[in-house]
Amino acid sequence: MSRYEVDKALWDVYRDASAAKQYRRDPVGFLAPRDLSDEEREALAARDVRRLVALGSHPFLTYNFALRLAGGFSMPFVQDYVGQLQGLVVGDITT
Amino acid sequence: MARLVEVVCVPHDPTIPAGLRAAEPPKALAETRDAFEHLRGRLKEASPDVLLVAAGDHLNQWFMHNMPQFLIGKAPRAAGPFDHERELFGLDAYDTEIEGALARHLLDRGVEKHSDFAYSNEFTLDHGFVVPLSMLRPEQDLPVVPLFTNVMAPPVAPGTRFHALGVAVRELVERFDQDLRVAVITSGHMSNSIGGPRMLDFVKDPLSEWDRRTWEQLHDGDVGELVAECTFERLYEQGNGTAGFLDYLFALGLVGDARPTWSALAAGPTQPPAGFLRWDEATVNGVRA
Repeated sequence: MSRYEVDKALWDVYRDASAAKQYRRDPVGFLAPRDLSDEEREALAARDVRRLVALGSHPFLTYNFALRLAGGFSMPFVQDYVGQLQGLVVGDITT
Repeated sequence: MARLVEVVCVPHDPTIPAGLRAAEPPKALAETRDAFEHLRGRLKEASPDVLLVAAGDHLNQWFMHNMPQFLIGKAPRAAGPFDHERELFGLDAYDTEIEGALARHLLDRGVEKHSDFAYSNEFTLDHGFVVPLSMLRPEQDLPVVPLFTNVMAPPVAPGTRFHALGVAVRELVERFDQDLRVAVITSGHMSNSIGGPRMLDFVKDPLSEWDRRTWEQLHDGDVGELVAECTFERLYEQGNGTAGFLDYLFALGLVGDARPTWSALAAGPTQPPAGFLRWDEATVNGVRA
């Protein structure tokens, strides 16, 4: 497991418009040079926020990653995002 | 010598400014606006020369590859927010001078005894700073000293250290050899689960049991007990972002655990609870007006 690398990928997409563009165009290529497990890579490529949070990604980064990809804040976005996490309990996020 | 003339704790939800542009904001947001407006007036009356602003950075620039627990910004100017925050939340720019001599004093005297602050000459103020500053001092005319705190990436310092830092910063400010009136804005929040499965719990329960108990402790309870209870792990259990409350404990250290002169708690099914606390000059300095 490489939680730090997962968080770093989320961080890059959130903060960096060109990284977000690259991820949108080719998520697998964007993730290729990163040191991730298969499960992490798949969850990141699929924008699977539930799996990411279950794996211990930082919830705030995961949210901002999804927010960047959604293009901006709205209540429907939040409802959809939180809906995907229902039943999860957040655990350790130490990197 | 420098003197503390006003201390406030306020929230910094980045959706507040855009929400207030709506024709009719929901009740809790209107109460949030009213609280900010009240504090804006009091801050003006306090006529500070400088604003010391303490808040978290939200992993916008300090990240797990190089994470300071407490950092003082000592560049000539402080500006923000980040482009991505402007884009995603519709935040406006804020840009002002830094009170460099006070920033340098905190670093130089702090490292001798109190705290090994990190420092930076290249940084951006994120929404944790820009929202409170825009709401409380929209004129952008007062110099600031930004104090960044890590409340998001473990290990996070416990409440006892945030409180002790407040005690130390007050002592350092009062030893500063310039006749400055210093107001302090600390920004954090009550229970908060941004990005977690409980993010919308406020829809059903605008105030959690932890919020109610904490608010009571702040006003009538045992502040020492509250400070001791606020470890990252315990706050995280109350919502994955609740450690943002630690910045309020910094303020308690600054004011010597005095009860607030004024407070407001804006809560409703449309937003996470927004807690506002104010200590006036007389209360901060132990003289009840």
